[in-house]
Amino acid sequence: MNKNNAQDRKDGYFAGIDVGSTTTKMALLDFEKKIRVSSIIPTGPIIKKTVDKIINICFEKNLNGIDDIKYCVATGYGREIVDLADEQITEITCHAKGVNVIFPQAKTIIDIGGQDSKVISVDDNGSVLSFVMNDKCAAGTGRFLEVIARSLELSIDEMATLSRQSKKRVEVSSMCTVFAESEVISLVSQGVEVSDIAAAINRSIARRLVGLVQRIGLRLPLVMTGGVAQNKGVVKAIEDALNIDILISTEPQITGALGAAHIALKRFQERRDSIE
Amino acid sequence: MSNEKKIVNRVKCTANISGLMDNFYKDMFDDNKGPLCWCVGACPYEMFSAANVRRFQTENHAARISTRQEQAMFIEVAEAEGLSENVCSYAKINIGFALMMARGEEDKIPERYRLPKPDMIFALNTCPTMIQWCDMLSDIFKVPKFVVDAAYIYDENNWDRNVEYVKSQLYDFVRFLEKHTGQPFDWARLNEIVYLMKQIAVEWRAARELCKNVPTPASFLDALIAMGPKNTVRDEASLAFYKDFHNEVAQRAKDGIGVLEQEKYRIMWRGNFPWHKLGTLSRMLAKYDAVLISGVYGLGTYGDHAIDNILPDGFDLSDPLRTIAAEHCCRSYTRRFDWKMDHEFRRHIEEFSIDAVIIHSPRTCRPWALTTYDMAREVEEKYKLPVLVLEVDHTDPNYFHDAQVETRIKALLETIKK
Repeated sequence: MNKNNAQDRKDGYFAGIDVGSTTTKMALLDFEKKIRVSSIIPTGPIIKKTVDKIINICFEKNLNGIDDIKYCVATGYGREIVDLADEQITEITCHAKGVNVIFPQAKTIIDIGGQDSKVISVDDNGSVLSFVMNDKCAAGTGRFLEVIARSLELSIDEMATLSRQSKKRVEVSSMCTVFAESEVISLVSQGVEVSDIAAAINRSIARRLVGLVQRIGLRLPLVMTGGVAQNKGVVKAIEDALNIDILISTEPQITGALGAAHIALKRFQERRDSIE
Repeated sequence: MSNEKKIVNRVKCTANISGLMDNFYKDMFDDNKGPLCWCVGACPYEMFSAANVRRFQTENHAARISTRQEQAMFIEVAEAEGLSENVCSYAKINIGFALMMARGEEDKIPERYRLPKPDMIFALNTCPTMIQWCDMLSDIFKVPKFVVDAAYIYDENNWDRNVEYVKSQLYDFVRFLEKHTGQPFDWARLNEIVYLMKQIAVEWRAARELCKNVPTPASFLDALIAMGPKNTVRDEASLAFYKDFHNEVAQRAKDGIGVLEQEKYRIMWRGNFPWHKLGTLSRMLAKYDAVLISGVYGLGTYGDHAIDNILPDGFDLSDPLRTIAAEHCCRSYTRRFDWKMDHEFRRHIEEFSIDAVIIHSPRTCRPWALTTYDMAREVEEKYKLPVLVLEVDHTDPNYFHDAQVETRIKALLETIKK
């Protein structure tokens, strides 16, 4: 593949591939910074296959060949395994850039992914000022929600909807996913309403995230990204805990890949300018 | 591409450390060199030499095991005995080791780590775990113990009173040593060792100061590897080593030889160090042209703090116990937040051209984990430097995941505007 020999200098794409622990995301930009295509698929056990699959999916959508990718930035935990990548950049920097593109006014970002959560403080240009991440623990992540939803025999969406019907406040105090699951089963056996348990789970995630936000210092406006940003119950719990309104894009899961694609375009332009 | 392996040009003479430390630990088996004391914490080793008592530092022994990643077995033994996973991992390694010895399971311990049973235990109370650790060892081996309380310095104006408080306990310790050795304490030898430490401190400080050069001729990791003799051995061979260390670092500085081929990021490290990941972290940083330049850990023993406080004229050879007491009062553990910010961070950041700070918040060490996020915030606000608080551990392998740590370090470097 030769990524830099396209005849037309306005013809080509800039790819961002975000290989997360749960899902892999890809975004392709054109020279006008328009998203030409994006995709989200589950991350399989063999990351190379997952990456090949998402590239194929993207290029089946009426684009020219893969050779028209001028520059590719890979991010996420699997970033080192993306052969197509010209550069690897962490998801912290890519999320900050992606948010800056959608919400230039953003100052703080909460990203809740499949198996980690992070809070990022950014400047007006979308550059990272500081960040904190959870460590060694699935509490407060998408995986935590999946485990609890399974124990309640609900889908994630059903749990989110039910949580908004809660009438009585109960608490799930365990910070550990496994212990929280036991606590939930115990509450169910006590006859506590599932809607109240679902709301308690959302508050438990919110507590976790508020702790991270306070470590870094809350600056408004705050944007939420990652798959859990689509869960209205969790978002509401965090809004209530912080007493703020949270901004969310239409496709919060794609933010890291989008940021990576924008960085790819910028890098390409910088290199081209330096040659000229 | 970032996947290429970068060469880390270590200070060559640090290769001699392994032999020095091996000889030191072999000496523990030499009964002609007096009774053996297991020391918990950074202890007044000069006094043991003057009393003809062999001694080693239990943390150093635990770190030694961890650098070869053979610590897990001892941690498991200690946890099976009932120690919580949150207890200091140094303590768990050493207590697990002690339990195996007491149970006659020495054959399961790799030969290079084996030690004789102690005749006495000593602890310096720099954190509550030290006291409990000392108590456990004393109970396991049924031997006497002695604890010196390190004064917490709430008010710098009370410096003299604090030093005198520690010094008075050291006098009691002299009596303890005389009682258990049956020999008079050798005050002349104590003076010799304190004078030796002064010379070692001068060599050490001079070598460390040279790291202000760009590129740095030695890294903080070189210093960590080199600190063993200064912190625990303290003999004439140690002084000879530090002269070599200083000379080599000086020559590298003169010749413009750096640790890395391309030194892009100069990082300060605060906190104790994950010994089991020393090589991993070194390579991980080098991959991104980053080098640890300076740090606050271990170097404090007759290091920067001590020198700032008691050198060049403070090494009072007419009152060696006061010198030792003052050195113990110079440790980070006993200091207030504002003192740490000024003496630990400001000096390193301003003088060593630091681009970013990594603060290690160890999962099993409360003194080093205290106020880490407040420190991070103050460094960010006051010095406008990016800070990473790394929550791993000094020796427990369960808290370190290479990919997670690399993501955090790379993200930190991405925030540096260069």
